[in-house]
Formats: sequence, C-alpha cells, structure tokens
Amino acid sequence: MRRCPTATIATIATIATSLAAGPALGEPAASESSAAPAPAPAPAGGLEARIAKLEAELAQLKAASDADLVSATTTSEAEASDKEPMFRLYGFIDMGVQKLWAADDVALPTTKTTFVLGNINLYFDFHPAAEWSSLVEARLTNAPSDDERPGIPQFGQPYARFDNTAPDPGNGDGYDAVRWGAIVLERAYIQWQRWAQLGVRVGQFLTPYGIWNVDHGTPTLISLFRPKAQSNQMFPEHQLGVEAFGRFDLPARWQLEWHGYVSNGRTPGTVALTENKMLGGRAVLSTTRPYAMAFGVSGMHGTYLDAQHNANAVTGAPERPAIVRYDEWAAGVDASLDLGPLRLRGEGALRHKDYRDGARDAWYPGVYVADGFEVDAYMLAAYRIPHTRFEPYLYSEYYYWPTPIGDRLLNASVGLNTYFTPAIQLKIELSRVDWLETTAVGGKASPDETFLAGKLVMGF
Amino acid sequence: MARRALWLVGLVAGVLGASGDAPSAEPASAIAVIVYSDNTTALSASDLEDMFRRRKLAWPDGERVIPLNAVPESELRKQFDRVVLGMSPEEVARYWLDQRIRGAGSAPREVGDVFLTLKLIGRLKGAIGYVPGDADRRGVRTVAWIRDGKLVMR
Repeated sequence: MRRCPTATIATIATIATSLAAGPALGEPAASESSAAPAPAPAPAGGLEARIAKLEAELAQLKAASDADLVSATTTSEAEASDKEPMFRLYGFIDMGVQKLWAADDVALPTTKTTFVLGNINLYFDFHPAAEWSSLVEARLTNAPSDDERPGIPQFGQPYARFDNTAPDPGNGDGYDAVRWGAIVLERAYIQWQRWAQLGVRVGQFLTPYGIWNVDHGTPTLISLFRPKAQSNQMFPEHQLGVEAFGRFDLPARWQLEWHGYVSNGRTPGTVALTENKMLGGRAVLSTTRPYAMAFGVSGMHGTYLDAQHNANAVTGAPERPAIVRYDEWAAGVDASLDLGPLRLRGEGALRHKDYRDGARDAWYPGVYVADGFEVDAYMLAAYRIPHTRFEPYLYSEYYYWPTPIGDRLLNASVGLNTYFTPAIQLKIELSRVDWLETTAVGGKASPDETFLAGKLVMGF
Repeated sequence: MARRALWLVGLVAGVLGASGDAPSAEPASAIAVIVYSDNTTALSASDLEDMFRRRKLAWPDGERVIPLNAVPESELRKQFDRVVLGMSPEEVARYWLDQRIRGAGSAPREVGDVFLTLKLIGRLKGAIGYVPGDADRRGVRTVAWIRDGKLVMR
C-alpha cells in the first residue's frame, strides 16, 4: 500500500522537533509534573543506543519517503504522460427569453414574449491512442416540437402540428405523458493527427469556412444572432466526408492554416444521390503578435440533387425522378483583429446556384427560385470596458437574396455581453432588420422586424 | 547534547532538502523553462508560445511535445502566461474554452507541484515546463528564462 510522502516527511519533522525540543542527550528528562517521579538518569551506553535507534528510524523513514515520492511521481507521470486522457466531456448551454416585433405571418412561430431553450451541446472527446481521437458533439433539443404546417382552411388545407407527445407509463401513476425530443449531431468524426502540418478527419465535421462556423458555440461567438450566411447556409453548416487540415509556420510569427475536404455536400437525407461530390477548402493567415489577427478565404463547389425513389407499376423498374437539382459554388473572406479590449470581426460570402430546368426549388406553388447570386457581409465591433464585466458591441449586415418579398436587407444590432466568469456570460442583443424595396406578399405589408433576446450562456 | 540535537535537525533538513528544491543562484522570482536533459533543440519565443497553445505538436525529431503547465492559481503560471502567451488569467481561461468549443483541442496538462514537474520533465523525452528560478534543475535542461517580465531564450 502506498504511503503519503507528505505524512512521512511530517513524521520525520515531528521526530526532529521532539528531539530538538526534548531533553538534552545525557541529561535527565524534565518531569511532566512536579508530582511525577523523576526518571532515573540513563546510562551513557543507553543514550548511544537510543541515538543509534533514532538514526536507524530516520534512515528508514528517509528511504520510505523517497520510495513514496517516486511512487507518487510514477502515478502522476502516468496521468501527465504523452497520452491524452481517454475521455473528456465538455460543452456549452444557453437559454433565455426573446421577443419579436413584426407583422404576423404564417411562417413566424410566435410574436409573443417567450422563454427559449437555445443550445445544449455536449462534446464527447475520445483519445484511445496517441495521434488518434474522436469528437462527437450532440445537441439535445425539443425538436420536433414547434414543427407545424400552416393551414389554409378555405382551400381545404388543414393546419397540422407534429405531435411528439408519448405515453410515459414508467413514470408517476402510469398515466403520465412525456414530450420527447431529438438529438442533433453537430459533428461526429474520427481524427488522426501526428504533426501540426497534417491531420485527417473522417465523418461529419463543421464546414471550415468563415469565423462563425468555426467559432460555432454561443460562449465563443460575440454576437447572439447569426448572420444570414450562417442561418441560410450559404455554405452547408455540416459536411459528411473526409477533411484534411494542418498548419505551417511562416516567418515573423505568422502561420498558415489550411483545410481541404471532399464530402457528400448538401443532401436531402444523409447519403449521396449523385457522384458529384462537394469539394472545398479554407486557408487562414494568422498571428498572435503584436496583436491577434487572422485573415481567411474559403470556397466550395458542389451539386445538389433531390430525387424520388419510385417503382414503375407496369415494369416494376425503379425510377428516380429529379425533383430539385442545381450546381453551386461559394466563396468567402473573413478577417478578425483583436486590439487589446477591442475585437473586430468581418465576413463576406458569395454563393451562386445554377438550376436544371424542371428541377427548381419553389418559393410556393407556381413561383420558382431563379438562378443567381446570394451575398452576405457583416461587420462586428466589440469593446471590453477595462476593469469591468461588460462588453458592448455593434453589428451591421447586408444581405442580398432575390425572394418574393424583396432582394436586399440591412440588419443593425446592438448588444451587450456581461461576463460573470470567463465561462459564464449574459448576452443581450437588440436587432433591427429592414428589407429594401419590398413587395407585400401574403397580406403582410412589411417584412421588417425588430428582435430582442437575452440569453444566459455557460461553457464547461 | 545541543550539537547532537542540531545534527539531527540538520539531518532532517537534509532529508527534506534532498526531496525538494535545492538552492540556486537564480532568484525565486525568475522562471526557468526546462526540457528533457537530452533535448538539444534550440527554441524560439514563437516555438515556446506555440507549444503552450498546442499549435506545435512535435519536436524536430518527431517526439511529441508534452507541455506541462502549473495550476492557474499559481503566480508561476500567471507570470508565464503573461510573458509567453501575452494573456491574462481570464484571457487564458477564455482561450481554452474557445478552443474546446471549436473542437480545436484542450489545454496542456497541469502539474500542481514543482518537484513533480522536475521529475516528469526529467523522465519524459517530449516534456517541456517551467519552474521557479531557484529550483534544483539537475537532470533537466533550461532553454529559457523569464526575468523581470521578459523572456530570454538561451
């Protein structure tokens, strides 16, 4: 059984103290009380024997102490060796309250003040062997709650809401009900990396583009609301395929980070319906001195195909008519700069879609999406007020996307992050979205919106 | 008699001294950055920062870099982070939280004891860490010093 080295050393110190503070060798020990009988003087030979015995005890304790220290070192060495811990669990959560001011329409879940559950993301990080790892990020949600289909009763189309209520007989008195929720896989991949210059991951990964999709989580992102490039997925948020990546040192403390991937691209399900894979990549120049800054470019090319899978009733042969098919490419640039308490971020993205005739997306029956460009750009400035918990920020965005209600919108936001600890913060943001040159659609006079949200965010 | 007692106290002090830090010419306020004794790699300030940001993963001979940090509460760690990484304790905490959320890795392992740090770096070929300037550094090689808030590479 291992002994505690601290306790052993303390024992040595106690002996030493008692020896130093105790009776002088060769002299009679002082009595503990006047009533106690005085001990007889020890013979000189007895004292020598006692010293020898104590010295032997000290030598034994010293040996034991060394052994304990080595043992303790060995134990900690195993923990702090070149092996990463086999498993780590971490993640982030955010939740709060929000309110939307907008003319009501059938696409809005609600315009009332509502408490919301944002992200509950758990990271399962495995390191079974040196150079090999696996990361699974799972987001726990209440989906498919709130999945509803607007009705048009006059046309005989009834309103429908997905019912995810299920019996919960194992709980309570046996007649309970539970509303089940789904797990969203944000990423799940196996990774090999021996050198900083080269690593490979296989599975589902976050598309390496821009700042937002890399920063990914609410504790890391400055702003609460997502840019349109992100929410409208100008680049797909996730990819299922193979990604290679790495980093090279450049002169003057600069580094070049690179990513390249081949994937299924956008798919209606999870498997590829076309042999045209999505190809993409990203390169980032960055440094940390004199200020942290990074400049990135990203790009991708792919084909989207949504095809039905039918059987011919006459011949029995399978048929796969294409419902939607388009080729697309996208490019993005981004820059970030940290000047002490001032953080600046900017991104721009451009996407082009080229549909096959007869296989276009539809805005609504009879109105189809045209070929064309989608453009998004934003700037963000945040300033951490020195010696306080507060970081106010300003955000502005321009978005171009031809839709039935208009082509262009401007977004201006103001926000405040309050850091209780480095891992816990309160984010509040007020956002105003104005569509330019809008067209009234579906009885909605103006698509402009004002949105206010506050969320408590925790990383762990 | 008194000499005997002093001799025993001296013996105990020797025992304690042998299992702890021996005095050094450097002041305790200085920090020595140390590596495995046979590691002859010449490091730059950038290399050192990258190793403790886990951006540099291997030594030139292919050996995996094993950075060992002091615990965040220690003055040793605060001074090292400020000089080598250019970050305050809060910024360091945020940096590693951000890195985890990005899926870009976790912070170096932390060792709460200087003696243990010396032992580990004396045994692990790829290890790199730091100890107070007056620590007994026999068995390891010093590659840099932090003195008066400045990093001096050797």
